[in-house]
Amino acid sequence: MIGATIVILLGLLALSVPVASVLGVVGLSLDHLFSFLPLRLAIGELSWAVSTDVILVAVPLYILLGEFLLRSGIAERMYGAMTHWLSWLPGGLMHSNVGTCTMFSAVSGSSVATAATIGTIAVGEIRRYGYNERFFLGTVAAGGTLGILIPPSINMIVYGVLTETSIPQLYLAGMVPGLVLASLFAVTVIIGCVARPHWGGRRPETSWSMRWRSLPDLIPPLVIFVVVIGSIYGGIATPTESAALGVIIAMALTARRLSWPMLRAVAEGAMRSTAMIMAILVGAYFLNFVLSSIGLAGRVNEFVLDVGLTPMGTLMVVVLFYLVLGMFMETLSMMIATVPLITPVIIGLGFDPVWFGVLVMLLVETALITPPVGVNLYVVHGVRGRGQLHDVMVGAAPFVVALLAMIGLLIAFPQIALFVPEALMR
Amino acid sequence: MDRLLALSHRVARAGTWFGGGLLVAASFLIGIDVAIRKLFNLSIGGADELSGYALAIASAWAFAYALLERGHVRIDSLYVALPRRARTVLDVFGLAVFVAFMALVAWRGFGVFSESVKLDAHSMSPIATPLVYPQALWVAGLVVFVLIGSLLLARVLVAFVTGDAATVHRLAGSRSVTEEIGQEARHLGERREEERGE
Repeated sequence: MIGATIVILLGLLALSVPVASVLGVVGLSLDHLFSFLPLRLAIGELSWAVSTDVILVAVPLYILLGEFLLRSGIAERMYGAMTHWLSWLPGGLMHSNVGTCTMFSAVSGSSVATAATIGTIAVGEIRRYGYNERFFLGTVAAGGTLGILIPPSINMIVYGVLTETSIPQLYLAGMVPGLVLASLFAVTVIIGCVARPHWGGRRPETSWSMRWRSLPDLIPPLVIFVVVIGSIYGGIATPTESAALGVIIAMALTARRLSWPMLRAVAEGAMRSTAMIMAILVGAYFLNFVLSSIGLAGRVNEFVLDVGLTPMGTLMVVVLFYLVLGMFMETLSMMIATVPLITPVIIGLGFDPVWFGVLVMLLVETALITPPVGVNLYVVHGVRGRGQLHDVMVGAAPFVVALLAMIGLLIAFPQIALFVPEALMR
Repeated sequence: MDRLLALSHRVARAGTWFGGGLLVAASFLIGIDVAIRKLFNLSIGGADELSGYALAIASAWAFAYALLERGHVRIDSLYVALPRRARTVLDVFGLAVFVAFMALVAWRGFGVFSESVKLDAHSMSPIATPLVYPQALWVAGLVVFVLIGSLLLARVLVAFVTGDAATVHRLAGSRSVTEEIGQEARHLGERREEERGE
């Protein structure tokens, strides 16, 4: 049964059939082969249930929030402020890249949006200040991945819904690893620029008075962060409600630029992504329903126990599996297709679901910058608009090492993720 | 057929404006709900439930746009390595599977809707929404998707049979890296123009 599932799933994916329908067709085939009742009759009810799930409403709202932020100009001003404060470090503006990505991640739920927004602002500076182009692009591609680790996070919402894990706890658990990872990225930049001083370009001019004057530019993102994240922990709003508040604030911030053509562009961009995600979720819900009805999840569990690895050994296999799969698969579909099957096994072995959620985010982040398929690499290459994709891949490689180090740290010290939610919520 | 397809594109685009509008409206409804709850300790209720309907309707009406824009994710690790002929076959096959699966969803979705009509079903909540209204809009979006999807499939099949590989690729090909990049660059260009226009 496990074999048939894997063969159909991988076969159809390799034939580049759209992922949403692959999941659906795998569900239909398993239903046909192994089920006594025609489970396909439930597909209407299931589609309605997933499409009206209140928690999932947060997903399009974060996408809308991101579309408005992209057009609000706040990212440009943040970048300016970060440059005044961080460019004295060895590596100069590359620290502004990482810093702005970190801060933008606290208002954006998507890694791709973060890389695209910061990349657009930063690429012009490479030649102006004479940086090593590859390494510089790598900081943007890698820094952008922080988008899904630091709350809010679309991927955490999807993980929470698929595994019935508390989203507020996932958010709290992502904060410290996010900051640690950002520091690891910064350390990577410093090591690179100490070893190869010509990688770092000239310093932009700055002074203490310019630093103080730039501080107000950090207020808008701070306001959004406090509203979106603060409202959840202040007990004012659910994650979905906080996303709605975020949309309203973002619209208020872009009020001067609002126009019909702009609103239509926002709707088209946001709905294209939403439709793509919702179609995959419809397929995945049906597949999961079939999987649990025919008892495949239990079989997988038995299979893992039969193999007889230690819990840590199994975890290593899972991590390796995600690292390899992440090289070839688009990340959201990878998550939606695998998380419902793998998470119960991992939790059954005694690992914490919130902690595993954070680990999955790190694995997805790695997948975003590992070739041949790494969406953030494509995005950063796209905003550069010249040269070879190869440059971005090479530039991002040192940061893959940083991500692997972070994954190791999180496995060795689960408290990095868990102590905040444990202190505040349990 | 191409004129019908161009019309479909306009309908699908309008669908995203409708869906986007619904979601923005849902945001404001939720915002008002939260504000009233916090300030007056009163709940008007139902905002959550209504936003759920907004998501269902908005995504149903957006499926077609994502299809025409080739926005539904395909894994193209192997695809890009294949000769053009094989890719054309996979484009047609992938499109057919996707439309067929969504047609099943639409058909069963219609079953859910007609059941609600028969039973005069209301949601189990304080506002007891008659489910036929949101479900009618949802199913309508799915049906529009199936119509547009079938039309696209028919057009692509014609192109396939007549050996017009370029058209198959333009309508149903997997977006390559260069195309994604082209689109990203176009968006940025638009944004710069917006900013200059300010």
